[in-house]
Amino acid sequence: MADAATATSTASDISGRIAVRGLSVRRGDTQALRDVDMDVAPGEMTVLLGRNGCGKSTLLRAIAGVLRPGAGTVEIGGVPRARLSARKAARRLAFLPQAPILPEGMRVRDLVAQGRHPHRGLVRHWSAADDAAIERALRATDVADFADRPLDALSGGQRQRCWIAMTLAQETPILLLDEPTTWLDLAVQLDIMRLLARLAREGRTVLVVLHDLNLAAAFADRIVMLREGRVDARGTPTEVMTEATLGRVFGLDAQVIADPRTGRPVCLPRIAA
Amino acid sequence: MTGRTLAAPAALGLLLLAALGWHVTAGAHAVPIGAALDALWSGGDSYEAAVVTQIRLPRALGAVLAGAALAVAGALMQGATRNPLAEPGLFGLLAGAALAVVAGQGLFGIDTPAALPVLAAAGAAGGAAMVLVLTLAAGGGAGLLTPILAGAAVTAFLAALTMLLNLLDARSFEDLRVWLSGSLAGVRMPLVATVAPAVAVGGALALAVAPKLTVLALGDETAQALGVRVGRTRAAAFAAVVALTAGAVALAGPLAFVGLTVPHAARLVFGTGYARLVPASALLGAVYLLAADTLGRTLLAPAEVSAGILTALVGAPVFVALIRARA
Repeated sequence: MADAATATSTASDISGRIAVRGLSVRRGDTQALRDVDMDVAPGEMTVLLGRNGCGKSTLLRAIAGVLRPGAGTVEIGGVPRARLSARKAARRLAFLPQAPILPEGMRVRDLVAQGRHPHRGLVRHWSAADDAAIERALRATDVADFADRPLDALSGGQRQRCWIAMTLAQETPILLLDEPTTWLDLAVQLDIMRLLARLAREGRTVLVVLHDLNLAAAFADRIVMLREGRVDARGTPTEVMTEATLGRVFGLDAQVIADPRTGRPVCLPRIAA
Repeated sequence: MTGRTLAAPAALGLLLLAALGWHVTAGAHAVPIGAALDALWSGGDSYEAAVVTQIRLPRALGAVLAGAALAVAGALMQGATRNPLAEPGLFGLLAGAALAVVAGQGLFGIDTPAALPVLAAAGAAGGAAMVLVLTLAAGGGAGLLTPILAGAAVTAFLAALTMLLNLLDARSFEDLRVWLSGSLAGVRMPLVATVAPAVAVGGALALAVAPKLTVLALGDETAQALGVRVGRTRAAAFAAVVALTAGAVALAGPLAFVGLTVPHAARLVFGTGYARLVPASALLGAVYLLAADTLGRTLLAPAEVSAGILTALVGAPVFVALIRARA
C-alpha cells in the first residue's frame, strides 16, 4: 500500500518533499503545536486527523506559511520555508484554506486563472503556458463545462472542484488542502477524494486535513494523527486505525473491521442501544 | 479573442473623445466644434478661443483627472477592503480632505495651488484613519455596513468642523461655498498642472497593485498562499487612494459617490478582474464627470448646477441598490 512512497526519485520528488522539525506554534493562550516532527513524501496522499482543536489545521497552515511558527522549521524540497519569498513559495506549494472567500460575480475561469498569479511578474505577463495550465486544471477537475459561469451560480460540490482547479493551475509539486470535503454530500466527497488520490499517484505531494475517519482510511497512503498539538500516531491506515489509537486520539469506543473489498480499515463506533 | 477584448476599451476611448468634445463646445456660450478645434490647434484671441482654451479646456482636463481619480480610488478601496460599498466619500476621505483644505486656507492662509493636494492628502488620510479606528473599535471589521456607519459619523463630525470654520470666516466661505458642493468651476491650468502628477503617481500605483487586488478577493489566506504580500498590497492601495482622492478634491472639492457608481458600472462590462477594472474605471470616471459637469452647466443655463450635486443625485440610488442586493 505504501509502495508508492518508494517511487522513482525524480527532480519533482525532491521539490515535493516536506520536512517539519521541532515545530511549535502558540495561538493566543494555548500551545497549538508542540515540537512536531513530520515528513511528507511525494507521490502519496497524507491525511492529518485528530479531534477539533488538536492542531491539524494549524500544522497545515504553518506549512503553507500563512501563520508563523514560534519555534522549529519547515523545509520545502530541502529549502527552509522562511527563506523562500512569498512568490517562490507559491510556486512550490498550493494551499486551499477551509473557507475561502467566494468572490462576488467572479467567473470560474477567472478564479482558476488566479492560480497563475505566482508565475507572473512585472516583466512576465500572460502566456500560452498560463492558458494551457488553466485548461488542464479545468479538465482535471471536470469543471470545463461551466468555466464561463459565475461561481455563485454553482453548487457547493462544483464550487469546491473549482477551488481545487485553482490550486492545480498553480502547478506546484505540493498541494495542501484544509477539509476539502466538509459540507459536501457523500458522492461529491468521494469524487474529490478520487481526484486527490489521482493527483498523488501522478507524483504530487498531497497533504489533506480531514474529519471523516473512514474517508481518510479509504484513500490515504499515510495518516498522521495529532492529539493536543503533538503527533500521536503515524503510518499506513492499517497501522494507525486501531481500536487503541481511536480510543486514545478521538476518545472513541469503536470497532475496526477490514473492508471486505479493499482490505482497508473501517471504523464502526459502538453505539450503546 | 483580442478583437472582443479590445472592443469595450476602444468604445470607452471613443466615448471619452465625444464627452470631451461635448464639454468644450456646450455651455452658456455654445462654440461650434470646428471653431473649438481651431482654437485648441492654433489659439487666437477671439472671445470663443479664449472661452475654449482658458476656461473650458482646463475645466475639461480637471473633470478627466478628478473623475478618473475618484473612480480608481473607489475601485481600489472596494478591492483592498473586500467591501463593495467602499469609496472615498462613504469612508470619510472626502470630508477629511475638504476640512484640511478649508482649515489650511481659513486658519493659515495657505491657498497656493501647490499646497492644495498636500493639504487634501493629509486630510484624506486622517479621515480614513478615523473611520478605520472607529470600525476596529466596533469590532465589526467584517460587517459591510460597520465602516459605512463609521464613515457617516466621521463625515458628520468633520463637516461640522468645516461649517464652523466657514462661519468664523465669512469671506473665505464665499470663495469655497461652490467648491464644497463639488464643482469644477474656476479650475485653471496651473491647478491642473499641479494636480496631474499626484493623479499620475496614484494611477501608476493603482495599475501596479491591480492584479494583486483580484487575488485578494479570494481572502487574505488564499492570497498569501498565492504569493501576495497582503499587508504590503493594502498599504500600496491605500497610498494610491490617498494620492488620487487628494488630487480630485484639490480640483473639484468633495464629489460624492463617483467612486461607488463608476467602478460598479465598469464591473458590469469588464468583469471582476482589477487589471481591467482599474483602467476601465479611469476612462469611465472621466467620461462620467465630463458628462455631469457639462449637464450641470447646460441644464439651467446660465445658472450652474455643481457636478457634485448631480453625482450625488445619481449615486444615492446606486448606493441603496447595492445595499438592497446584499440584504
